[in-house]
Amino acid sequence: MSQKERRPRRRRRLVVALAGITGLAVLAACSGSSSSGGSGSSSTSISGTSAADTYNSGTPKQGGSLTWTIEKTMDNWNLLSADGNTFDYGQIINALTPSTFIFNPSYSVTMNSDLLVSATETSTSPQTVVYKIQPNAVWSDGTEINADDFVYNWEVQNGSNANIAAASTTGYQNIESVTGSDNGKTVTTVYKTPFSDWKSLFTTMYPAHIAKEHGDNLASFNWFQTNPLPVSGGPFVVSSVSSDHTSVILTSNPKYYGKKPYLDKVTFRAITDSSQEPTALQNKEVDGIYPQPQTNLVTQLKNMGSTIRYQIDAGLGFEHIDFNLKNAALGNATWGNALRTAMFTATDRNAILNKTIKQFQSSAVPLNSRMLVPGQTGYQDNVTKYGLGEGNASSAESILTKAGFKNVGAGKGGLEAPDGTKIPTFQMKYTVGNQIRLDTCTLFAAEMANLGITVAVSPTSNLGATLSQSSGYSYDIVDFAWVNTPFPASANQPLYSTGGGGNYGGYSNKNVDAWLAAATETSNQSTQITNLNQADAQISKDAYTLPLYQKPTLIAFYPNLVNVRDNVTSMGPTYNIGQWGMS
Amino acid sequence: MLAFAVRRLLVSIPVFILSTFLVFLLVTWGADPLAQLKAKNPPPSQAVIDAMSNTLYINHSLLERYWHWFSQLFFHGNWGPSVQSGTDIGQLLRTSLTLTARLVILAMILAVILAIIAGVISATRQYSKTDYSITLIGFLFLSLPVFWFAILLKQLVVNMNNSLNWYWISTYGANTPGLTGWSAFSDAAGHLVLPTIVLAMSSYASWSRFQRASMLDVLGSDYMRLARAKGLSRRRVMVRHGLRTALIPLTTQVALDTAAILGGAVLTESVFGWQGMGTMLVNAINAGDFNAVLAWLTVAAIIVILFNLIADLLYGVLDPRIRNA
Repeated sequence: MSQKERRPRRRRRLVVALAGITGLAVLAACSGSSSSGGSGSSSTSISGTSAADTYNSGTPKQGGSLTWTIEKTMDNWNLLSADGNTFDYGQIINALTPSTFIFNPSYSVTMNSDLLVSATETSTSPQTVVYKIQPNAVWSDGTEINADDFVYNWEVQNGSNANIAAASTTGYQNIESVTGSDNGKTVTTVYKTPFSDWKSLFTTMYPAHIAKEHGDNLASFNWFQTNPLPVSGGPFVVSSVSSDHTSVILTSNPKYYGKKPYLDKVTFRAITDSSQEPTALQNKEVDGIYPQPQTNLVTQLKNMGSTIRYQIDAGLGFEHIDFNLKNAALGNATWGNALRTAMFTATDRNAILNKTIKQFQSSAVPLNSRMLVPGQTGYQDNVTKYGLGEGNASSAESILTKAGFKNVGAGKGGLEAPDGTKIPTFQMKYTVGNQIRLDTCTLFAAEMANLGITVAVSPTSNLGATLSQSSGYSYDIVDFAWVNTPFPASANQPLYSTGGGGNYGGYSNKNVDAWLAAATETSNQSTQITNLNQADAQISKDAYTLPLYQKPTLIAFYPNLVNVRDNVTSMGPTYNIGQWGMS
Repeated sequence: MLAFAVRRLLVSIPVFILSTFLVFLLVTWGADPLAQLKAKNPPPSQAVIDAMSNTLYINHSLLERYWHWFSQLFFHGNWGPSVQSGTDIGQLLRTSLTLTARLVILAMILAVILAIIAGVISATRQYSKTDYSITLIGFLFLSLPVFWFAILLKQLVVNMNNSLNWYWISTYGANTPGLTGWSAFSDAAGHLVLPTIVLAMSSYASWSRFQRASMLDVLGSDYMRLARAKGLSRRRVMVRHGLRTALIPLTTQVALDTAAILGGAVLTESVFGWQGMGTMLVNAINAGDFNAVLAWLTVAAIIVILFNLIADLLYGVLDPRIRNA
């Protein structure tokens, strides 16, 4: 065949090949299995139930390695510090630090019997707790885990040194003394003021003997922030950290005093854009992911069929709408309560759920408590009991009319207060880019319009600054989330007490202050729950905040992983990392 | 030539200082560096917030703060403290710049080679089916949003990897942790494939059009006709006389586009999870980390000024009229 004859065919081939490549790219990218969730996958929450503790349990083979995903680069190693107190960092630190108690997926709190022989409250006046440490409990360099470690961790978190930027001093500041005996293997903590959630303390302990090598408490506390732990008191030790902090490799701790971990190596990889996590999982670059669920993420996982396993749970964190009582109308002493109550009465939480998280978690239901979530002892409805959150527009109008408001309803020129004040437009804020919160705010604004109240929805790129109002008054209404813990008393006290650190809306009720203080101090669980529910009910009566729903969590991994499961408490899925393994 | 270079360099200094001041104003007015700290739950104590304010020097006037930053950087080589915990900005900058340079240099080489080949073929076969095809491809990449193209390419590769059960090409990060030797090299190459293609294609598209137009100009010139008339081979005429001359405008264009490619790397790095300059900027903005943002913008300003200088010098080399003006 001559050259002249061949050239046109080459050109045709080129054109066809180029078109083919382009088409193939589009087709391949759009293709994928359309099957629904893989075997064992579920969007029905089991968190807070006993089933959550045994999900995916089994006996794995000894050895192997896996790669787990975190969503932040590992920039801070001190989980006790304000800067380093981040969920993702905790996922790695869990494997390295000894903990007195374990927060289980069922929300139960159990003593870590690998570390402790016993932990007993021996006296209530003064409150005294005695820890007996296992004789064989040592750090990975052979140094004994003893009372010195308890003393150091108390000293850096008790607030006595204002320069130490501890994440929280809650509980530790209640302690009068921490003393060791029995060669340091018995630790006695005496409280100056009672602290009912004492089991929440000493759950992430840093080594005192390493701290001593790096100066005083302040210097060592800061040193722990920037340096990977050189020793471990957990099932794994740090083997290497990449220079850009995007990966951390842990290897089995040969001196671990508990049950030997099944895996030889666990690699943590940071994927900072959650939308890329399913792709990385599908491409086997990671073995498991734990992103915040969104509709498109769940759809991607469903499309992966039975090659992976995923579970959506209702978390301990919850979304809520808060009023800012510093607003002259919302915080009005005479008619502010009626206005707020009517607004929350008109809010239809089921409509919000249908529009948002029910898109991927059909079993989601409204949350009816600020203090507790379903599955926690003492959870009860303190919200709908007071008519809040059910979208009852006629009841809301009736509340306003009875309180003397005028122009109640849409298209009547705007709501007027009993004293003739025109209700101003309220500025409602949500986090920029959060579609779920935007949808929530938009629905809320539409419901308020039916009462004659104008709500202007706008995003904030800096939720922290908006809430703390660091540059002046910055919101009237806000939609955001709190993270609860298995210790509801100590977690909630700063959020609703007068002048509390997280009480951004300026709520104040003397009874609530007293109930929350009592809940934090009592060692009797039923008294604690009674106090929490009384406070919760009062906050509903005062219509300060409206809880919406528990924030869902999502875990996905390959089915050959054993004992990997969701844990919606602050400990997260790596709470049992020593038990992780391969089938 | 030296005097020209020095003159251009001296003009660049006030431009640089002015750009750092403008950037400083924008960054300091744009975000509250303590916002993330204040939003922590449980909230940190006021003493902790005050200590951080002192560390960041944010309790001083704007001019004092600018001078403090400027003098620390240029007299002590200190980029300032970061609000992102455990972050040394100088170290972060070095790591990020190294990663991004790896990506950008490879992408530029790929884009230049493809652009030259496509531009020359298109020009020599003007209005043929090949020319139309290459033009179509060029416009396709020119109009494709980088983000969309990157996601599409990733999914294509994931499906391909799953079909072949061979996972050499990676979709995330710059490398797989824990590898050494040849495995580490091969793995790093596998991580480079997709971001390099994405970054290269957007530049390739415009450069190939540029090269085509430049080549067409040259092909129509008298000296090319003369070279052919002298009986030189087609290859010699094309490569020695045509391409060499036609490359001159592309060379200056590539120098000027370097800053734009760095900007494009922000998006590419974000999609592929590279902890390079792009990710550094995004993280710094999200954290309200003004010192890190300033460091990024300072380096970007230096690169832009440097490459503009190189472009000016290249003009000077190529055209004596500019050099002597």
